[in-house]
Amino acid sequence: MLRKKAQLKIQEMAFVLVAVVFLFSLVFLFYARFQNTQMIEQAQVLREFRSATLLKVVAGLPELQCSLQGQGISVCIDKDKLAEFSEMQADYSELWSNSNIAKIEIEEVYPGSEKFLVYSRPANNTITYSTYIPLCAGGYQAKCAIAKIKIATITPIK
Amino acid sequence: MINKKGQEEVMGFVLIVLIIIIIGVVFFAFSLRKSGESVWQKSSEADDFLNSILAYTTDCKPSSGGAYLSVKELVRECADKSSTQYTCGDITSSACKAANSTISAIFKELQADVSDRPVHGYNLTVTNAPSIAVAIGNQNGSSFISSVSIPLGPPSFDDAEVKMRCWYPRNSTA
Repeated sequence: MLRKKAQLKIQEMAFVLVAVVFLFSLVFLFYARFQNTQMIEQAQVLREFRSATLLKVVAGLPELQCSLQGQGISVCIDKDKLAEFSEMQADYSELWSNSNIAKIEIEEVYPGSEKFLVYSRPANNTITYSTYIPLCAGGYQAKCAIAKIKIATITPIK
Repeated sequence: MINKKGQEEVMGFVLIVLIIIIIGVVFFAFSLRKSGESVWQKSSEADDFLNSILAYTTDCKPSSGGAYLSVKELVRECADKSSTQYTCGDITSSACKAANSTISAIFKELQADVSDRPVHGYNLTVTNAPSIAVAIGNQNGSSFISSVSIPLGPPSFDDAEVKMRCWYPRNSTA
């Protein structure tokens, strides 16, 4: 009788332990999945932040930036400088390649649709970031259009 | 009687464990569900888009002569309650009407996308200039919101705040 009672108690404990282990493994599984989702979202946010910084750096180059009597006046690109700069791809290729940049393109989106290729090289895995920027021409009394600056960066192979 | 009591205890344990498992599954199912995108979101690309629109040089200049004004300058003139008339192409109008029509034209013609989401509607308002109010396209779904302050001149020396919302389909993915 006592033995049967003990066996019953042991079986009880075994079932409880199995259930608890199952419960905790379920909890761990869901927690790991949740953390994975959070990390992917954070990586995306960091990637976007890095791309925004990169776009501002390129747009802020003195070779491209609008200037009023030699001083940068705002975040905008000088169309006349851009046209000349597009002819000098080879001179700046080392700078762009060291930054993992595959392509830099500036496209006027309103009111015109002119495109300027600043830099380009063959690359397989790329991701393109873009933002809007004023594109101004004419010096002091510049006329500004709305343009889009696009930068394709090389991503690590997965 | 002892047998029944033992069985009751086992059933009790099993029931408690099952309840805990069900509560845990329901809780994590809710927490893992992808939350819908916020109706209002900030985006640096939306801020750049608004700044580019404000920097755009219109084809409007004072009727008495002078340089072409940017959208920002027209908005400032409107918020300052300027009575100057402006000629935009063949049309003469106030600063507020000129700003309104220019911004509307930009929104209608530009196929914009912000943070890789296709924009299907725009909404732009200016504090201190209620006559500038542009609403183009579908005003439903999720949106990016952006605002820029424009300092005004005398006598108010206040700021006119330009607020823009770019609407895109709720379930569109980047």
